[in-house]
Amino acid sequence: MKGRRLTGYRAIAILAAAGFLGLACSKDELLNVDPEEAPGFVIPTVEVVLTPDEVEQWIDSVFGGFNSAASMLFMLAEKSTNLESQPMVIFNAPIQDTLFFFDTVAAAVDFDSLRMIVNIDTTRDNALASAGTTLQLWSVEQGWDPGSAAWALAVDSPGVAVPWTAGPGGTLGQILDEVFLTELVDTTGVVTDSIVFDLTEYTDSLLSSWNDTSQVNTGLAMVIADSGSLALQAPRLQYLIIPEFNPDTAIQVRCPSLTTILRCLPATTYIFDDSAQPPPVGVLQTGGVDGWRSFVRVFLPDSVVLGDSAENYTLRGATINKAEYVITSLPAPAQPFGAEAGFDATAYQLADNYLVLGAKTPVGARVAGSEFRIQPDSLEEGESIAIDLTLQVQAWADVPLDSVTPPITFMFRAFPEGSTFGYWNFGAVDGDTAYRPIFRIVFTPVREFPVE
Amino acid sequence: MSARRIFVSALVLAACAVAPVQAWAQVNLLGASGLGRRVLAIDARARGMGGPGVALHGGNLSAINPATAARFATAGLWATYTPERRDVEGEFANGTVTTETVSVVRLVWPWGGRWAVAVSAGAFLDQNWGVQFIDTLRTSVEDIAFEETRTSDGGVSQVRLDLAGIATEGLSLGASFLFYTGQSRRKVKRVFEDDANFQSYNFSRAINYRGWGLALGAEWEPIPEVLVGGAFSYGVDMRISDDTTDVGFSIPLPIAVNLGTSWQLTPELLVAMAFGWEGWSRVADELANASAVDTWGIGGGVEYALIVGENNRWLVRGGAHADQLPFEVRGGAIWERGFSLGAGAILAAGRARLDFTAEFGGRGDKSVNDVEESYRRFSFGAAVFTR
Repeated sequence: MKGRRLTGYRAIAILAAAGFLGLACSKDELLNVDPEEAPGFVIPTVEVVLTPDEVEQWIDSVFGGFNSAASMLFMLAEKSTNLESQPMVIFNAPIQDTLFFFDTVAAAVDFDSLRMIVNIDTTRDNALASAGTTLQLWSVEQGWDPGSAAWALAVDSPGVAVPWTAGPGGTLGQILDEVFLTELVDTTGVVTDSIVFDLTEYTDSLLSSWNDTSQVNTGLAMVIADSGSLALQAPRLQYLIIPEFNPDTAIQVRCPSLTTILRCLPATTYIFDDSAQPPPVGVLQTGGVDGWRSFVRVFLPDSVVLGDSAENYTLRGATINKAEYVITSLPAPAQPFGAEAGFDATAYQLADNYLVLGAKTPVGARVAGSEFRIQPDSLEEGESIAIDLTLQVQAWADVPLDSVTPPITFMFRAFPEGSTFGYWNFGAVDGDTAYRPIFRIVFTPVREFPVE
Repeated sequence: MSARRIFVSALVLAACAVAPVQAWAQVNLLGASGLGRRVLAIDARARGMGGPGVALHGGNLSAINPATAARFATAGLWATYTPERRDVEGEFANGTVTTETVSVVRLVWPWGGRWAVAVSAGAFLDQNWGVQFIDTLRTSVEDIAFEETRTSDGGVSQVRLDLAGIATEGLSLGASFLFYTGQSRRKVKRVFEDDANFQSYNFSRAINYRGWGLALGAEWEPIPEVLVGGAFSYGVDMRISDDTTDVGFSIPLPIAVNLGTSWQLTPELLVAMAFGWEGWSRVADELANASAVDTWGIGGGVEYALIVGENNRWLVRGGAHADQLPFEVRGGAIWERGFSLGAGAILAAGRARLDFTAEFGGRGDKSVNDVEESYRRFSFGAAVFTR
């Protein structure tokens, strides 16, 4: 009898366990329905396009000076009707003149076969004259500051302005070597990506003088003798050392060194015979050798009325499906400063009020997803580019309603900043109405909970 | 089985019965309107006979008539588990879904030869449903496809506390306190096509249900072969509120009248039928976006003892029913019609019972409701009793 009683009890226990298993295995199946017929809450996703006239405060400004030729990712060598530009380089001490041989340091008996090699940045626009282009390597006869040297000044730092003694364009000494380029792609289709200046004749004098820290290192300059345009990467030195422990052997070393023991780094810049001017009122400027940045400050409304409907849609608290700051291209800037090659740009958060701190406003993190590309050859006047600010606007919308409404503030600039010599212009809030920016927000508003 | 064990098992099963309607991911498009789909607390045996759970010879395991508890001479515990498969077809919806419900769990505890208390739990309103569709968002610059899913998980459960007694020979009376509780979680998920790089939209909010009511019942045995029963229930009110803000409102629950009879034609053959009425239209008056009708239902069937042993009985059943669902779809009331086939066994001289029922039928009418569904519902029941 006892066994029978337990059988009934176990049957119940098994039934309960089966019920739980059924719960665990239950599928979340869905019926396919027509959108108009779907039961449940209908919460529309809507779009609002805000113009500067519809917003309480919408201000934008342009600041430059965040970049210089010395911090560019390339050096521009050019001679054309629009621009003359000369790359310059100083190989700072220590120039390697000793060798490590196991645990001893051996001095060089002699140097030989000095060469300077410059790679052409083939990802950028390069142009040679139809008859060929001659790139000359000059010695410079006057000390100059790589961080501030300009076409007319050897030094142009705050409170100090030293002109080139020989006049604008640098105080050049003698031609050390020159290379004649006829085409950038050879007959086999291989891109010519390096230029070699043979400085064997000056090996000892140059290396010794650069290593002598008691003398001013006046460096070298590259000059296009005829016409053409080349984007060059930072040059490197290559030479031979004959060590004292084995005079019959020559060991090749280079600067910058492949090791970190002796850190020879070239300081580079380029000087050019023009200077970009700040943009006029009504223009946002992005990119360029000066690193133009556009700052924006917008107070978005808490709620909006869409179209002809009288219904008020609340932005605060809503799900921001997409928020874009849409800028409209102005005509291409005048040369030589109008960007010819495409470049990337992105938006950054601002950590303070730029109306107070101006260009010195601390910049925060990049706005994730805000990357965009400015492609001059396909970007026509009046064409728009959208900067995705969805995450930033969502953060704004998530601020509790009883808190002070913060503005949307951000800055956009070229990325990386030293990637483009030219810049591009877009319409600003106080500019031509046809080119003014707009804020396009697609959102799903908060609705009253429909307990009905 | 000891009474203590039965009591502990009852607690476990009652928890199973209350929880499922809140957590199981079940789907019922027809149940998406109003307060959901009405679920009757009928056990597997009564389902096999077309649903006559008001009065039934041989131990009525349904939780409709509180007076039925008085007819149990020993304590017992039982439960019915009901999986269902639905094929939905209509102008605006298509698909196949499966659901699972614990229809009823009931514990009966007689004492003193005349009295009995019973506790039961089960689903009352099923609000489990889910739909998906693809649509296009038109913006000023582009059209973006998105997929949206809307689901509702949960519903309202009913817990009953019955007190029943034998008034005179052949007549038992009962009264119930009804407690309604539950939660329904509504979710919306909108996912835009990948290329658009739009953020998804997610919405989730819960609705709480709390209410109570009373029920009265009677069961009369004019002659040993015939049982007649009736039950009246009145849901006093139910509060529906937002789980987060507690904002909500109250609605009256329907008055329900159920009548039934059972006739033991021969020692092997039992015939039973029942019909009921529930006044849901007064509930709908309080709801903003739902229309409801007073519902009617009728069902009946037979049970035949195929094998009668010394300690066992093996039974087969058949029946049919037609029940109206309270909330309309497309302005039309929904009827559920079906027939059932079942089998059961009374084991161990009546100390255990197992029942199984398969039902086949349909709900709705495409010409009226623009949607209809065919269903296959299975009920598994088990019961144990003390000596």
